[in-house]
Amino acid sequence: MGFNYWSLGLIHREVHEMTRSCLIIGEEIAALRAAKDLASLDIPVTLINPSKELGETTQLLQRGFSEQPSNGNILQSHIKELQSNSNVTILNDAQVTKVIKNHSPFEVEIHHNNTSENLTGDVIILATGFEPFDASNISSYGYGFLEGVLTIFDLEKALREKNLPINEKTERIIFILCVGSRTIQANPDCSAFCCSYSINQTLRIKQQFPDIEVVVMYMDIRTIANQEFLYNKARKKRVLFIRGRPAAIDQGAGKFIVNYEDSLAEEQESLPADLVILTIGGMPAPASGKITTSLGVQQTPNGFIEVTEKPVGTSVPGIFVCGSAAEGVKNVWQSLSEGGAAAMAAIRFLKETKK
Amino acid sequence: MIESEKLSINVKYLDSDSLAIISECMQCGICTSVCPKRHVSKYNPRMIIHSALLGHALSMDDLTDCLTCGHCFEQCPQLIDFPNFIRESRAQVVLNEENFAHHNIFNLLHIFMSQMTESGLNFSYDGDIEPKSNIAYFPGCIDLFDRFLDLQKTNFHQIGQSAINIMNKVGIKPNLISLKCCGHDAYWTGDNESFEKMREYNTQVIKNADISTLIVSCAECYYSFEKLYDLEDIKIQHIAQFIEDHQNSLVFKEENTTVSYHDACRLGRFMKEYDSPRNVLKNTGVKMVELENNKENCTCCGVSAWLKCDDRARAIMLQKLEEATATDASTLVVGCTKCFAHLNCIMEDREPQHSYQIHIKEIGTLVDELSSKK
Repeated sequence: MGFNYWSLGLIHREVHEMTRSCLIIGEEIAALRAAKDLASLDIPVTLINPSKELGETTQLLQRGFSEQPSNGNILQSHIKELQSNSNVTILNDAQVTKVIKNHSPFEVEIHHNNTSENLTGDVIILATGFEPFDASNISSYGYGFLEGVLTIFDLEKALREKNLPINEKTERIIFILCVGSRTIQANPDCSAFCCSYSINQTLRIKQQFPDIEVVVMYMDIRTIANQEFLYNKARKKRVLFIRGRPAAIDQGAGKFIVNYEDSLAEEQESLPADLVILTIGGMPAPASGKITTSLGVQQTPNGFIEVTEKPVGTSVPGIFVCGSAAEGVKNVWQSLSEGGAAAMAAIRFLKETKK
Repeated sequence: MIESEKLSINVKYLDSDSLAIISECMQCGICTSVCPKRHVSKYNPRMIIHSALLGHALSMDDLTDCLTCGHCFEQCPQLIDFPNFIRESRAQVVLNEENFAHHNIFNLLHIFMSQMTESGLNFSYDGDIEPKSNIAYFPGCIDLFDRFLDLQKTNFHQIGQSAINIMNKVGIKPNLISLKCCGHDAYWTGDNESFEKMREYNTQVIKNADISTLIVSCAECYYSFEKLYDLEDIKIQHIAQFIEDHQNSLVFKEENTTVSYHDACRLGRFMKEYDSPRNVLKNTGVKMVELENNKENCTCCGVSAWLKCDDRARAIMLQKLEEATATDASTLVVGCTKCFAHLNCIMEDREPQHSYQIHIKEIGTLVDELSSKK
C-alpha cells in the first residue's frame, strides 16, 4: 500500500542505464538508509565510514525510540541488508583525507587500511552525524570528576550492560535536561532527540527500581509528535518533573545537592540525589566540518551543514545532506526519512545530469 | 526531603491512589485559569497539584477552599479529576471545624443522621400522597434549611410542596419516601464513614419501597443517587426531567416575564443535564435568556458542602448576582436547593453591597406557580 511498484520499475530502468556511482560519507542511520535505498535500485554505493563500525551514534540514539516493540531493531536490519547487498561497498574506519575534484563527478582521496586510494562518485551524500556535547565543559556540574554524575550515553551503556551504579541505598536520581543545548554558550539549538531519549531511560529505571524517586529537571519537555506517550507514561509512573535549569551540583554528605529554582512554584530549592544524569545534546561532528569545508559546502553559524535547498540539498550541486549533520541533531525517525529523501534527490540528480 | 514548616498536611501521608489521580498533570495551568476561587483569591489548583506531586505539604486552606465545582475538570487536557483528588485528600485528614459554615451544624447533622436508626427527616406536605405508589419523591434536606438557616424571605419547604403539587397536577400520587440525607456533603468533605452509613440505610429503604422511579428536587441528591449509589434499575429523575416528561399534561397561564437559568455544578458539569431545565422553562411560555457564562461554563454559586462560607465565597455569589442582573431577566431559576440557599442568603445579607433587583427561584416552584391541571 502506498508504494508504487510501477513507478519504481521506471526509475529502476532509467538509473540502471546510468551505471553511475554514489559516495556516502558517514555511519549514522541516515547514511545507512540512503545507501539501502540507492543500492536497492542497483546504484553502486560506497559507504565511507569514519568509525570502527556502522551505526555507532545511532546505536546510542535508537534505544530512546524503540519502546514500541513493533519498531524492532531498525539499525540492525539496515546493517544486515547493506552487508548482503553486492551494490554496497562498506569501508569502515576510513577517512577522507583530500578532495581532489569538488564538482560532479567528484573525486576524493581516502585513507583506509593503511593505504590511500582515490574514489569517484557522481553524487555525494553527507551523513556525518553529530558529536555528543562534552559535559565537562560545564564545570559547575562536575562531570568527569564527580563520580555519579553521568551523561545519558554513560547511563545507556550501563543500562545495556546491566551495571547501573544503583544499590539499596539509592533514593533519588535526578536528570537534568538541555545540558549544552539551547544555550548560546554551547549549542543554541534544541537537540530534539534528548527529551524522549532520557524520559525513556527514566521509565526503564522505574521499571527496574520502582521505589527510587526519579526527578527530571527541565525547561520545556519536547517529546515531539507521538513520543508524547513517553512523557505521559512517565508521569503516570510517578516520575517527577520540575521546571528549572539547575546552576550547580554540589557535594553534600554522601549525596549530591542539586540547586535549582522551581520556576512553577517560584521557590529556590535544593534536592539531594544519589545519581545525576546529564541529558546532553549534540554538536557538529568535527570531521564533518573538515570535509564540508574542503568540498566547499556552506555551513550554518553553529557549524552544521546548511540545507540550501530543502529538504536535503546543499549549496553544491550533486552534494546532499541528511540526518543530524543537516542543520542540527535529529531523532532516529527524522534521520531515517531524510536518508530516504537524500537517496531520492540523488537519483533525480543522476537522471537530470545523464549524458 | 523538602520540608515546609508553615504548612500542616504532609502529602507523604496521602495514599498513592489520591496521587495517582493527579500524576498526569502537565502543569499547563488551565485549571487555575478557570477556577472560580482563583478569581477572588490566590487559590491555585495547578500549584496544589505541583506541591502534592513533589511531596510538599498542603495547607488546610488548600483542601477546604476548593468548591469541587468541576470547572477545572471540564477543561483539563489530561482529564485530571482535581475535585476528586481534593475529596480523597480530605478523607485522609480531619478538617478543622472553623472551615465549616453555620457553626459546623450541617456537618454534625450528617454524623448524627448517619448514626440514627431511622431517617430523622420528617416531612409533612399537603396534597395526595400514596405510600404504595411506584413513583417516589424525596425532598432532601430542605426542611432542615428552614429550621437552621435564618432567612426571612426564603421558603425551602415550598420546593417540596411544589414538587408534590406538580405531580398531583399530572395525576401522580407519589410515595413520599423517608430517606436520610443522600450523603453528598459527607462524601465531598471526606467523611466516608457517615456517607457509607447513610448510603447503606437509603439503599435498603429504596429497595424495600418497591418503586421504579425516585424523583428529587436537588441537583446534589440527583448526582449522588445516580453516581454514588448502586440502585440498579431504579430510575432517578431530577424534578426538571420529571416535568419535561409530563409537561404536556400541564397548562400554563400567560406570564409576561423573563427568566435566566443557573446551571448547578452537580446537574450541569457533573451530570451533563443542560437541556431538560431549559426545555421546561421555554415550555412554560416565559421568555428565557442565558447568563453570560452558561451550561458547562456556568460559574459556581460560591459554596459547596458547607465549607468556607467566607468573604471570597460571598464575592463569588455577588458575581453571580451581577451576572444575573446584567440580563433582562427578573428571575434567576436554579435547579439545586443548595444554589437556591446560597444565592438567597446573599440576597438577604444583612450588609448588602447593592440591592439586587432579582428573584432567585427553584425550577419546580416556578413551574408550580405558572401551571395548572389540564
